[in-house]
Amino acid sequence: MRRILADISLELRRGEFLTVVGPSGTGKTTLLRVLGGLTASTRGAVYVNGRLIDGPPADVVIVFQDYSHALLQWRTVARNVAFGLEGKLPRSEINERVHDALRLVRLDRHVDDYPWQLSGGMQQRVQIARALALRPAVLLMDEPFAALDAMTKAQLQDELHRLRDATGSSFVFVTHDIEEAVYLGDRVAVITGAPGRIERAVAVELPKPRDQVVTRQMPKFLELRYLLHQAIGQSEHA
Amino acid sequence: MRDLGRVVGRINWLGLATITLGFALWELLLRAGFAQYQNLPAPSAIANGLVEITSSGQLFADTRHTLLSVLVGWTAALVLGVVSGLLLGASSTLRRYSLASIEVLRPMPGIAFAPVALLLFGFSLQMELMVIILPALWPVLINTMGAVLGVHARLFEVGRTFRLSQGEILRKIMLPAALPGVLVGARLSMTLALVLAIVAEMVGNPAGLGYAVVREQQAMRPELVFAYVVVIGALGVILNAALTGAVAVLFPAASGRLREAG
Repeated sequence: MRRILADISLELRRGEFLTVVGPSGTGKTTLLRVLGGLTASTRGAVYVNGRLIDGPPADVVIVFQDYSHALLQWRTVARNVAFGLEGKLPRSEINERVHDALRLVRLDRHVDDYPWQLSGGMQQRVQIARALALRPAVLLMDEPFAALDAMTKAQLQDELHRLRDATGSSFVFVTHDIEEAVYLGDRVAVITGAPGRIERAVAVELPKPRDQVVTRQMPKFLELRYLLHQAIGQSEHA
Repeated sequence: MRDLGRVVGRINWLGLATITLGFALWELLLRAGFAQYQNLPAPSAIANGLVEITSSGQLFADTRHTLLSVLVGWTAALVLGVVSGLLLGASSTLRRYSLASIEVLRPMPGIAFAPVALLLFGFSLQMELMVIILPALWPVLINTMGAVLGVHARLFEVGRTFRLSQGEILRKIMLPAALPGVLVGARLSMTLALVLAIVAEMVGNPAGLGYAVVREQQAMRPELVFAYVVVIGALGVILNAALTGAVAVLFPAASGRLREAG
């Protein structure tokens, strides 16, 4: 059996936005699946609020990259968002949470549309709203913007920061895009090698709120970008 | 009024014109004496035949019998096909044991069982139903199984990350995700059931529209033979339209996706 990950030691703080960056094949997705309880680790343990997890934990939810497969195409936007709540809460509260979640992602005018009637960016926002409606402690996001165009991506990045501020949830955001990792993260963990190891985690001391133009031109941003490129070994100077 | 306008707007007038032209040409060729077949009736004679069987009540009785056997046979095939398709889709063990048998049975022309059915049940509705159900089962079964196997693995993971139980995953993910495939099978099976009912009535059970065609042929009434053929064709169109309409009402999302997929 091949080992995918080794020596992973990570601690996620409440309300923290942790990005995990690394080249493909280093086990980023596997790490996320282990954190979300979809894949059991052969060794090691994951704790949520001090409780050892065994399967998907209650307060943790995954947002997948492939929104077209992850959404229930036969349900309207509102009923997709209600999916995780059905049977667990009274109907009036579900409606309220669905409404709130859709307003947070600015889709409150598309409640009755079907996913296939929406653009890719809107579909991914539906998936994010579906996760938010649970009011989870942690959102695990697996390259959620990888399939989107640059403009939509930038817009959703800012939206995600706004959501974090509005909900106080913690985020683990996996990406192979170094700039995205720096722009979004409070902390960036670099995962490299096979089996994948987290060699270092860097705090991102950039002012908030971040701005697509201003932040990306700051010397600190460029410095971190350079540092991470070097750590990953993809820099031209490496 | 707006509904009426929409219906009128959806009618394919050019397509209808082609059909009308075909009939006109047929009529013309016969009247002009270009086509000399003793037993080929003109469209006008067929129309008169239609009036005759309608007013005598014979058409109603024959149609009722065929419609009944098609609907009973198709429903049975649907239930059996969906249940076994779901089981086969869900269990790889079951597939390993039974897929070989299915692959042997499925390509057999179902109508070859007609003599067996006749031996088993005689000239009866049961015989007719056996001839319908066996072949009409496969499209439902295969499409249902394929649809279940085709449900994207990601959807099951979505179910897990939202902590659904196994029962909820079946009910809220697998069944609705497989529904479009099941509906495709149901439609294929419906068309097949009508064909099989007609053939079973021709060679076996002496009742219904299939038997009527043979009966009128033996009575040397070709215009009535053709009139019955027209009715059978119309029945096929109506059954298909009824099923499509029912799907659109019952499962708007699935029907929208089917339309979207072409």
